[in-house]
Amino acid sequence: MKVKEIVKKMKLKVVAGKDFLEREAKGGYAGDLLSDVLAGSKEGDVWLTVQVHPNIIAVSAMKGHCAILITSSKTIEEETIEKAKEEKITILSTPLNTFEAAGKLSRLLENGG
Amino acid sequence: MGIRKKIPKSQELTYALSVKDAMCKNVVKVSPYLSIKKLREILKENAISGAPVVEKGRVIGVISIEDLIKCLVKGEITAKIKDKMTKEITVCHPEDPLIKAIQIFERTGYGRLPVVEKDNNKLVGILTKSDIVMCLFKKLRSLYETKEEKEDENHLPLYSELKGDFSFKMEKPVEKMDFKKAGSVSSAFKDAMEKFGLPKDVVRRVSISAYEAEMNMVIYSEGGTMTLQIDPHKAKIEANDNGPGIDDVKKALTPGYSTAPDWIRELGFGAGMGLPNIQNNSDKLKIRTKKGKFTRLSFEVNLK
Repeated sequence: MKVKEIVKKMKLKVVAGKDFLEREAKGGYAGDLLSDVLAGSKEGDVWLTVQVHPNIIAVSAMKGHCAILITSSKTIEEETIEKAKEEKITILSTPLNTFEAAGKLSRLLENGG
Repeated sequence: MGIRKKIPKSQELTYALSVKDAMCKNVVKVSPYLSIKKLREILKENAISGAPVVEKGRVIGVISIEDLIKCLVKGEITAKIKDKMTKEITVCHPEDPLIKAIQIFERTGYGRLPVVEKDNNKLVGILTKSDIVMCLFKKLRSLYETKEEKEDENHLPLYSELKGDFSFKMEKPVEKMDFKKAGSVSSAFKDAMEKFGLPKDVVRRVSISAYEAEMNMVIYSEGGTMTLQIDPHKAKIEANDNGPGIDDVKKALTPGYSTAPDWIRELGFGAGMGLPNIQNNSDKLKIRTKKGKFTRLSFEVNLK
């Protein structure tokens, strides 16, 4: 499923990287420990996290995620957004907490809605 | 994996370039109502071997020097072009890739192709084999020239072109507690490895490990340097810091073990998975540490 469809169906806010919504979401990963995300997530995943500092961009770029989804509407640091633009990373945001967002995304990816 | 199939640049370009890049826009065209005699003068004057026949801006046929010769042989020099031209014409469009035109030339043996707009059949140019050759030649020359310029500032050869004893080295400083810059060294290493054309999987494993090592240095150490080394067999990272050393290496290698303070953990670091992650991603890992003095960490990922 394309990232733009997820944005539409989950009513997500696109914070950065609106030009890369054609990317294909192959799966998802939820985690706030960067090392755990580096170890466990896969290329093409949507990464759900409450971390908002610039280092998440480096982690996401390294793993080749299709997007980062910031949960609980955490305020994203300006520098993170700048860095996302540089690295061509899409940042999405939702008021749902990680548990709720992951549940929705998981159903969406399994059944297409 | 990672071995690039060699395709000549010229062949690659025939897919990348389109007909409009190569075509000649100043087309000598003829009216269907001219005589063969007049055609002979036009071809001679313009030193061309054929021309599209155009009526009201639309191509209705092609006439060539061969048609002319046939007429001369039969003494039909006053005949009209429209009765002697080839009416079943093959055309191409400005946005077609060059390869398509080349295939048409090969299949039909034609010497030239009128270029017409897709929707209205309006003539916009003409394409001959020599136009294609000239276009490729110019493009290759300009590519070659820009490549030369680039190599001056950034001489990273492709990994697949490396000679047996080649070794590339890149060294970067890592500052203690500098969270703004943290991650920039591993990003630079990742860029370098990508420019070398290292296999994607190797790039990922090395940069994840490099990132963990860099973060360890930023969070726990007094700062130091990191080095990336690429040779035909492996990519190797060395992370050397100026202390304070690791108390218990065995514990540090245990997943989940961490000495990080709470505020570091809140940032998502200090999960106790840094060294285990490095271990999982590398083929060889060495740690030497001296209490109060230094830690020297080195790890490698094999290329074959």
